[in-house]
Amino acid sequence: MKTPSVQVNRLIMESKENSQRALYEKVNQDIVDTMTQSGSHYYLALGLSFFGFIVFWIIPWIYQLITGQGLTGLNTPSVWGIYLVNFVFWIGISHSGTLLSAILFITETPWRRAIYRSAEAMTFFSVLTAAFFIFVHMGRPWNFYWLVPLPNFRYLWVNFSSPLMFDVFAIGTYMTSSAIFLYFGSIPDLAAVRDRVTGWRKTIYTTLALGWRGTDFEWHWLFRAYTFFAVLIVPLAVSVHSIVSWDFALSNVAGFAETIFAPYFVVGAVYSGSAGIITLIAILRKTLKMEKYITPDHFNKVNMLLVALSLIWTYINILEIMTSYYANNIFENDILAYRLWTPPYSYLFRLMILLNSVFPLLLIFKKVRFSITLSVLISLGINVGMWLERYLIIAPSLSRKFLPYMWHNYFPSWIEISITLGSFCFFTMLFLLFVKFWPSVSIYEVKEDCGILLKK
Amino acid sequence: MVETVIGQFEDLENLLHAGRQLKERGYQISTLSPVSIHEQIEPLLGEKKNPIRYLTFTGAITGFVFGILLTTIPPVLYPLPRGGRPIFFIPPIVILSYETTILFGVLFTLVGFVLFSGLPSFKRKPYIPEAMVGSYALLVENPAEKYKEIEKIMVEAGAGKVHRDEN
Repeated sequence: MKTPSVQVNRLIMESKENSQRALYEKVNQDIVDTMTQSGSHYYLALGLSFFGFIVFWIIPWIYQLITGQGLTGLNTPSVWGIYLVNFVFWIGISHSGTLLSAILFITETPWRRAIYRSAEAMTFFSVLTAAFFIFVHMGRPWNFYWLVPLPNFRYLWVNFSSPLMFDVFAIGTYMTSSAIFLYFGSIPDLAAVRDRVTGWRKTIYTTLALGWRGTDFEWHWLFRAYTFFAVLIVPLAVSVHSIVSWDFALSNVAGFAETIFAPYFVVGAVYSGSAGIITLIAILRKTLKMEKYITPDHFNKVNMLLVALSLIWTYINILEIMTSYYANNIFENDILAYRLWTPPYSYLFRLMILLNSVFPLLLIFKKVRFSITLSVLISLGINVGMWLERYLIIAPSLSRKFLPYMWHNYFPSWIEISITLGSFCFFTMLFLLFVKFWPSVSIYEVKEDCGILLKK
Repeated sequence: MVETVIGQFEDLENLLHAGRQLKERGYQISTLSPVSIHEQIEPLLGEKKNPIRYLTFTGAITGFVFGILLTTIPPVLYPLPRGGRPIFFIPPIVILSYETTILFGVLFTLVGFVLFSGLPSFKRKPYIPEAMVGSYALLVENPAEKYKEIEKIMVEAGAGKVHRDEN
């Protein structure tokens, strides 16, 4: 027997007609309304994010394509800058959505039901944003197909030994699986939307719902397939960020070649992704008036996870420094000193520790965990801290290569900073389009909750 | 032309009661529901087998073999010398095969769903939109024109509306 979550208690108490049918209709109405009745604020936010995407990302990128990579702060030996930081950051953000959703589905955790859809969408959009950074980072993105293992007349296949090639496989698999997972979990809801809309929307949702009628047969196969997707996605998500870490760890560069990087990156990714979920569901709750479905208890649950992840992340971070220090390799020592004691990196390092290790400890207190404002502030801090973590791995390590004649201080140029801002606009734009065109809360699973509680 | 009788129920227990009686009389029944009711309906309709797992497993094995072949054959046919490093070695084979194992596992599961669920299907089939909102529906195949008997059982069990659907 499934367990109910607490979020629909309020919904049931508020409902005038305490019958299952009335409640189910209310759930349908509330969630479809979020898609069909958007206020002027929605269009303003969508317009601004689209404008930001064009102005901060597309136009500077076109300028960079025409002029060349010399516009960036990248130069030998700092050939990786904040484009790579952004790539790792967005892959990290993607990590909690589908992974958490899959784990909570397998373990039948009830509080998953109201938040998993938006978390899965977050995964897909952030992987997409990350993937675009590969193109931005490439001087000649039109040669991208060189990375795809296609037989060709050049008699040259891709280099399978390169960790960058591992990335292509890992991210391609993750993006495909996340999209399938998101879509399959939404089919019954797309059918529910199909029956409530008219005009062009009806045509689109009829196609997307695949002819779903909700027969026992369809439910059976959906549940079976969905379970397998969930089981396959858990090891996949773990492998993806491990592989991203090997872009660095399989090199010979001091500061990169750390054996702890795979678990460090995976924990960091789940940490930043969970913080991303907090920020997103808080915005969703407020703007789409989803207070009845996304309750402070959801924040409490994800915050508990954040405390645990914060402690693990801090432990691995200390471990990374201590093992490098204990090895007493002069190159490692130099990078360590450069990162920890030399401005501006030393200030950024202290800020990172404050945001990722110190402030999240406030979540030990129940009042903080249930406070949505504080949760959002702490989660935003975590994501700033996690971006800094990636910056502090990439920038100082490449700036100090083995011989002083190769030293180079890397500072991102305006174009890199602009494209970074543009990526946040792009992500926001995609998410706003998602809440408009896709049921952002699972209608059928919230209904299941109502049904279970009514029986009680 | 097969006629289907559709009974709309507000309460799942009533539907199960009607379903049990119709099943005992030898009718072919199925249900429409706004939420998954497989836990309640399976004892009535019998547990369905799950051949998707075989497809998932086949997909995973296919993906694993594909990954190994992809990472071993091209480097031998088109060697890419890289400063004395081996032409192919174990770590990339393991990592890339791991990814293709999962990718093919997912894709074969998707194929399994399409094969077994009958979706996508855009033909007209017996359906009531209320089943996407808050009601349950019992679908009974009526090849022998026994509408009156089916209707009586459904109404007695608590069906709100009963009607015929021909497709």
